[in-house]
Order: sequence, then structure tokens, then C-alpha cells
Amino acid sequence: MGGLTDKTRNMAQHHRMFLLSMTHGASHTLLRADVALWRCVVAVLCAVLVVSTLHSQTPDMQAKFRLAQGFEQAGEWERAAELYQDLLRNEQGNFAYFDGLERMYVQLKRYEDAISLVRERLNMWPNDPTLLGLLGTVQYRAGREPEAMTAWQRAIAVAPENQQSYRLVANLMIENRLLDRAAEIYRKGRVACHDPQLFTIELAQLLVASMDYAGATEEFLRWLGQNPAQIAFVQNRLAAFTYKDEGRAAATRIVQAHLDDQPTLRLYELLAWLHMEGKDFDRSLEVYRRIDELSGANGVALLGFAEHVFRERAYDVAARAYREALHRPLPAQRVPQARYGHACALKELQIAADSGAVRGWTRGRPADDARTRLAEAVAAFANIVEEYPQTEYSAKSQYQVGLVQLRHFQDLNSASRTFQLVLAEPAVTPSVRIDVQLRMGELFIARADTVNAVAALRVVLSSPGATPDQIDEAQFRLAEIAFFNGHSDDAVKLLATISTNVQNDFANDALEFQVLLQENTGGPPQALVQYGRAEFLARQHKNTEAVQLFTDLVHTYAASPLVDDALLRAGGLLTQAGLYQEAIASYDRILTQFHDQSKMLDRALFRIAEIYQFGLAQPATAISAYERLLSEQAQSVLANQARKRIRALRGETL
Amino acid sequence: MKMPGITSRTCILILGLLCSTTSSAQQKILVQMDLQQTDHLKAYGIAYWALTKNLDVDWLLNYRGGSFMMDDNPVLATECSVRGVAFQEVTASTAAQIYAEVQRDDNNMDVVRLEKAPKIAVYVPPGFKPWDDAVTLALEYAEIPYDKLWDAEVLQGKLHEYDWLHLHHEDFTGQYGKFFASFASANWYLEQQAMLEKEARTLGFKKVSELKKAVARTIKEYISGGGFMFAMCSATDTYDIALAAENTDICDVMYDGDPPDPDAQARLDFSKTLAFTDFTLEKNPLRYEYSDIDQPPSDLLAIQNPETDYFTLFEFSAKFDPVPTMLTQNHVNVLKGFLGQTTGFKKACIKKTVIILAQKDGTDQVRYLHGNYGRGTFTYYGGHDPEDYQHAVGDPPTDLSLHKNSPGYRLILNNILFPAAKKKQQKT
Repeated sequence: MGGLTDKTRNMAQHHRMFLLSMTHGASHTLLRADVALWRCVVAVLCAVLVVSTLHSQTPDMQAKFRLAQGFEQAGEWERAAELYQDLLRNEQGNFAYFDGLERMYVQLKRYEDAISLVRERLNMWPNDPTLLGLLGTVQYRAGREPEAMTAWQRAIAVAPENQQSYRLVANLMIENRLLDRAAEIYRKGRVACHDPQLFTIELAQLLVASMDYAGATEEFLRWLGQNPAQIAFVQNRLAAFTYKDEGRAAATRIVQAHLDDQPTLRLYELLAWLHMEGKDFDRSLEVYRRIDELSGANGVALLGFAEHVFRERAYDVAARAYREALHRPLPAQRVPQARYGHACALKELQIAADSGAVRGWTRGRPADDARTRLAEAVAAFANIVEEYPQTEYSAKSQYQVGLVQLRHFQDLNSASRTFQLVLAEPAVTPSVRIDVQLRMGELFIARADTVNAVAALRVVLSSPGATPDQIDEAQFRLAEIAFFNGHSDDAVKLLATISTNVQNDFANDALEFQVLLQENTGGPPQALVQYGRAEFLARQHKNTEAVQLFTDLVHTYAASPLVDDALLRAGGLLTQAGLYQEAIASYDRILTQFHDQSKMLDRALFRIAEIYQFGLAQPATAISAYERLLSEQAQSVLANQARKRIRALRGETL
Repeated sequence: MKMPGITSRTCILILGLLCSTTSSAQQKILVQMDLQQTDHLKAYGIAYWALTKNLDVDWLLNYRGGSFMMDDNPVLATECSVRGVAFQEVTASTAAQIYAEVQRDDNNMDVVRLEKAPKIAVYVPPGFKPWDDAVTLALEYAEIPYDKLWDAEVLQGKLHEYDWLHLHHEDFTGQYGKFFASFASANWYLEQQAMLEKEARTLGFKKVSELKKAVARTIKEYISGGGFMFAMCSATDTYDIALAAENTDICDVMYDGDPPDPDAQARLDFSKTLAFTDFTLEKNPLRYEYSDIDQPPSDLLAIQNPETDYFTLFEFSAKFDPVPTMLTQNHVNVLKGFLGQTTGFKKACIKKTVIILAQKDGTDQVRYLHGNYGRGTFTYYGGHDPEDYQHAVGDPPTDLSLHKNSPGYRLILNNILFPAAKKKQQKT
């Protein structure tokens, strides 16, 4: 009977290691990329092995071997072991029989038998590292850790300067979940093979699995040092743990330490990326300054960073980054981009500061006050227009100025002129052109010029490039105009299409508006018409007249279901004007005069409480007011919000 | 005989004053727990909060769904309002009538005085998020404080500082939840495995399974010494399996690095378990099941119909069996079913000494049980989340503000208050 050649045997033994990895179900992620490839190689080699084994066997032995495999697959390990034993007795050199029997002994936890078996085979091939490795594994599973370590050390000692020796043993240790020891082996291998770059990725991945994030980062940096272009790969690998605070902190510490030692551009990029991962944009900015210097980007790197953090709504950092980019010798074609970005950041910063800490609570500020606060942003836009005429940035800047004039300065004339200038700009984009039409619609409404408002909004509806959101906004405004003009039915029809599309920005407003109209069509129609007129006045910022008209409505149509809406709206306008006592009085009328008919008692109570909390800064009174809502309107949808406000005012953290 | 110097008018005045003083001192707050309650889960929190303020709380078993009665107090009333818990202010005479009704011999009701806010611990791993577990969700929502413990603290003997222990959905068998087949290469699975292995080595154990067995034994000692243990889902059967497998290895190579003991089944010692006996281990390491305790098996969950999956709470004598009565207080007695890695318990695998509290009608599937061990008790509740029929890894957390009246969650919270009634239960 032919036996296997030494060469074939050794090949088989080496590849058995990988078979072991597969059959023992290693749950580690090392060499994941290699596993698929190695599996193909192993499958082919196994096929060769089995065929050559089978060819060397008698038919009887082939049948016995197949039977043993069958028992093994069926979980009848004792019987399989007996057969393998028998086969091996007849052909001691046969690797497949040895392998099968060893597997069965381990499966049956007959570790002593397995150890003896491996030792017998070692007598034939004493310097076979795979066998030594196998001996170590079996001894470890038998609970003999010192003997296992000795066997593994012997496996390495066969070829101490061959990196495969260390790979073999490390893999066996990983199979046995000795991750820290495996890492030690890799490190020793580096020293022994005189190659400090050896096993970098293997070690890195092993350390990630062991949650030694600092160690993993060190290895990834080592690898990056050799492959500086592969920063994306390193970031991808680091991302496996930098989403965790402790992982990110460890990685940042190591990268910083390396930077302190030897600053390189790649390390700075990595550090900046780490800070961005943690949303620490201030620190990112500090790093990007250095990146810009080191790369000779002349501000382009800073500009890219500024754009990124602007999108993240970190306007303060964005503004600073744009400013710094502008102080560097930016390429000429980038300057308007940077200036525009800077101006937008200034604008957004100021708006964010004005909006207050509480969503939904805004107190209108006087227009003069707004001019002062937004002066810097407006000036920045105006300078762009002047210095870069007939460009895309000029058009966009003009648009921004018009927006500020319309919404914050309430200077309709200036806004109108500015928007006309935008439309006249040759470089204006179609999207901005449509936005201008929408703003013109807003402007004409504020001027009480509904005819021109409708015309502007119809331009939007007929523009082929209009986005769905732009179309919805136009529809919404047209519905408002219909309502202002006393045509509630037309308004309801226009609102129907918007309120069914819950994805758009106006869905909530459209629904609320629709409910207002539909709930109040049963009352005197003139009440709704008057409400529309009052609302129209409010839109023109004629708040005093609007409040008067709302109050008259309450007096004239006291039985109308609209009275509480009117009082609520009047209260809202008075609150915006800072007339808190008058606003409270308006809400109070709902609670007293219209207590029996109103369905808005909870809203009135809630708004009173809000005035005490945010307007008058009287927390104790605010708590009492919220508590009143809870006791009188316990079923209100605002009850939960009221509870949260009480807890917050009490200083309780939930 | 007329008293000198005191007119009848004066007498009436004095009597009136006495009555008004008396009635205002004895006025009570009734937190009803029937269908009129707006937030059952936070009501338990109110009861707990009252105990922390040294207010006496009476649990009226089987009265209007297991209501709570406390002395009236403006702070308490405000707290109820702020937390959204419905309550009624009842006069002294009404309160007296309620107590009389509850304590009548022919009514299956009773009063249990809750005396002390129990100190609660939850056995959870580091990095645990409260929304991963129904019990911690309930505790957080009801605003009942708890401490977290893990293996090191348990082995250091810290359990005895607590009255009540909840076992997170832990796998005490050391098989990492048997998620290997589906999630072997998932980051969270690998991290969990690495963390547990590191923990085991740090504490001096070669394998995670050995560590968990030691922890299970320590918990058993804690119960024996008078502790209350509550477990849900996979913590129930795996706990008992770990106890039974004390002297054998049931974990396959992908879990502990070596094959299982071929005679593991024969070497199980059922005398060591709390609730289960004569169960058969699931030997396939890739099957998402531990043994035949779990009913229905996890493979067959797909054919469960949430529309027809219900289980029934058993009724107990409030006067003679206050403990199971407390544990089954609810405003309904038929509850919606919900699945879990361990959904229900096979009746044939339950020891005869264990009390069955709820079962799925017409099946051998027990959903909720309770038993004594030494001076303490244990309660097992099958399923993962009472308001998430089939929760999968990665699913969003349950928002209990949308399930304020959950009968399933009430059973969890019954267990939390029950240790406060320690003295009462010794009667049985």
C-alpha cells in the first residue's frame, strides 16, 4: 500500500490547521479576508488528499473510512473512533486516519488518548510544527496549560525565524481564545524575524477583538506608516470601535502621542477625523489649521472643513473656519465660496441665538434690533454682491439679503428690490429663481397685494424645475390667500393635497389650518371671514389691528366656535409683542368667559404657564399654572409636556 | 347628666370640631388599579415613592385591580398629578367601608401593608442600556431606582445588600445566548464574547461557563438567605440548567473552546435546580434553544399567531395565599402573549413544589411561576417584552408611555413591590 509522501503529509498537516479553524468553528474575525481564499485552497487540497488517500487504500479500508466519517457526522463518536483506530493500526502513517482519530478523542474528551496519539506521531516526525501545535492544543483542552505552552514554544522553536511558525501558534491560541497570548506571540515573532512591521494587521484585529483599543490603534498606525496612502482603510478599521467613547478616547490618545513624537500630515488627518467622529469640532478646527499648513493647501483644507461643519450645523466653528480660510491665500476661484459660506454661517449663528432655547417659544424682536444683530451678515453678503457681480454667489448672496430684509427687518420695499435684482442676475440658478418667487409671494401677502402674490405663486406651480417642497409651499400660500379673501372652501381644497403628504415641511401647518377651517364652517360664515381678515393683518405685521379684530370677533360672534381660536391667536400676538399681562388676560377669557364651550382650555392654560416660565421668569407661578392644567385638563395631549416642564422647573432629571 | 357650665350649643360645637379634625386626619388617597387608572405602571412608582417617604401604603389585594390606599397628603396628591396617576380622595368613612369590604370573610380580598421600599439590584453586563430589558424599562418608567451588579460584585458578596434581584436576559450556561449560528461574526457578538472571556479570566475562571455557574450558585445562596429573585426570558431556564450542569460541560467548542461532555445529559443534577426538572438539553450548538423547557420551541415561533396568543392568570386566595395573589394583581386576567428566547415553560418540566401563576389555556405552556427556596423566593416570567410580541436583536426599544396600562408589565411591577410586604408573607 502506498503511503503519502513526506511532502504531501506536511502539506496536509499545514492545511489541517486551517481545517481545524473551520471545523472548530473559530469565531474570530482574523484574516477574514483571507478565509474565503484559503477555504477554496483547502477544499481543493482536501480533495487531492482524500483522493490520494483513497487510491492508496484497499476497498475494504475505503469503506471503513467512509463508515467512520459517516458515524462522525451522525455524532456517534465512539464508533467512529473505533473505526479510525482500526484503520490507523493498519496504516500508521496515514494522516487522514490519524486526523480522524485525534478529532474523535478530543470530541469525546479523551484527552490523554489524544495526547498519546499525537506523541506517537511526533516520534515519527519530531520536528513537525503542526503536530507540536496540535499537541499544545490538546494539552490546553485537557487543562494542562503549562504543557500546552511548552508544546507551542517547541513548535516555534522548529523554525524560530520563520514567520509561519508564529502564525501557526498564534492561530492555535486564538482558536483556544487565548487572545492576549496570541498577541504576545505575534510581538515575539516580530522581534525574532527582525521585522517590526510583521503581523501588523493581524495583531491590530486581534487587539480590536480583545478590546485593547490603544494597542489596536498603535498597530494600525504602524501599518499606516508603511502605507500612508491607505488612510481610508485605517479609518474604516478604527471605525469598528471609535463609535464608542472609550474606543475613540483611546485612539485619540495614541494618535496624539504619535503626533507629538513625529508630526505627519496623515496623522493630523486621522486626528481631525477622530475629533469629528466625536463631534468635537473645535478641536477638529485646531487640527485642520495644521493640516492646511502642512499640506500647503492655502486654506482649501480649512474651507472643506468649514463646509462640512456647516452641514453639521456647528455654525460657530464653521464661521471661524471660513474666516481663517479667507485669511489664507485661497485660490481665487474659492474665495467667493468661502465668503458666501462665512456670511451664511454668521446669519445662521445669529438666528440660532435669537430663536431661544425652547422650541415654539419665540418672542418677536423689534426690526431695529434685528438690523443691528444681522448687520455683519448682511454686510458680508453685500460685499460678495459688489465684488463678484454676475456670479452664482452674487445671486445667492442677494437672495440671502432679501430673505433677511423680508423676515427679520420686515423691510418689504428693500426686500422687493433685492429680489428683483436676484431675478435679473444672469448666473442665478433655477432653484433660487423659484425660491425668489415664493418669497415674493410672501412679500406681496405682507403688502396685502394678493393679486401679485397669486401671480408669483402660480409661476412656481408652472415651473418645470420646481421641487415637490417648493410646490407644496406655493399651494399652502395660495390656500392662505384664499382664506384671507374669504374663500374657505377653496382653501380647504388646496390644503387637501399637502396635508396627505406627510413627508413635506408644510404637512403639519396644512393639517392645522385645515382643521381650523373645517371645524368652524358650521358657525356664522362672517366669523370665519373676519378671522381671515385678522389673520391677514397679522401677516402684514399690523398686530395691533389684528388683535383688535380678533377681539371684535369675540364680541360680535360670541356663540361662534371660533371665539377661542381668536382669543388664542390674540394671546399669541400679544406674547410676541412682549405684552405678557395682556396676553394672559386674553387666555384667561377662554378659561372664564368661554369655559363651557371652548375645547382649547388646555392650550390656554399651557400658554399662560409658558408666559410665566419663559416670559415673566416666575418658575413657582409657572409650576402652579402647569399643575392647574394637570388637575383641570388631565386628559389633555399637553399633559405630558406639562409634566415634563414641572419636573424641569423643579430641577428633577428624568 | 348635664355638665355644669356647658350648654348644649357648646357641646354641639365641640363635637363638630372633633369630627372635622378626625375626618381630615383620616382622609385617604385611593390609587385605583382597575380600568379607570390612567397609568398603572407609574402607579407602582407612586407606591414606591410613598414608601421612600415613610408613608404607609396598603395594597388592597383584588380590590379594584389591586389598588393602593395611603393617607391623604397634598404632596402625595401633587405627585400623583405630576406623574399622571389617577387617584381619588376618599373620606374616612368611605375608607373604612372599603377596608371593611376588603376584609370581609366572604370576599376574596385582603389588605397587605407595605412597609419598606425594597432595595433593588439588576444583574446586567457593563455597557447595558436600560431599554434592552423589560424589567429595567419598567423600573425606569415607574421611576423606581435600582443598582446594577455584574459578576464581580455578585462573587464579592454584594447581593446581600439588596432585597430584590432581577436577572437580565442572561445566558447562565455560558453559550452567549446561542446566537452563534446567526451572529457569529457580528461586532456586538464578538465584543460580548471577548468581554465575558476577559471577565472570566480576571475572576480566575478558565471558561465563561464556569464563571456563570459560580454566579448562579452565589445567587442561589442569596435566595436561600432570604433574597427575592426575578428572572425573565432566557435567564429562567438557563439559570436552572447552569445549576443542574454543575459537574458537567454542556458547551460546545465554539462557546468554550472544547467539545461538550458526551454524557452531559446523564450528569445533570436536577436536585440542584429551583424550578425545573427532567429536562433534556439541546445538543445542537447551532440551534437557538437550550433545552425542552422552552415552550413553544424557538424554531416554531414563526407559526405563533399574535392575534390568538393569550394566557390566563390564576386566581388565588388573598387571605390564605397572599404571595401568589400579590404577584397576580391585575386589571385583567387574560393577557396577551409575547415571545422570547424562552417564551413559556413546559409543564412536565416544572417541579411539583412550584406554584404556577399563569398558563396558556389548553396547552402545557406555563408563562409565570413562583417558588420558595430556603428563606427566599424566585419568580420566573417567560417572554422578552410584554408589549413587543416578537422582539429581535436591533429592534427599537418599547416606549412605555404608549403602554401605560400594560397588564404584562404590571406582573413585573407586582414582583418589585412584593418584597415590601415581607412580614405579611410569613403567615403562609
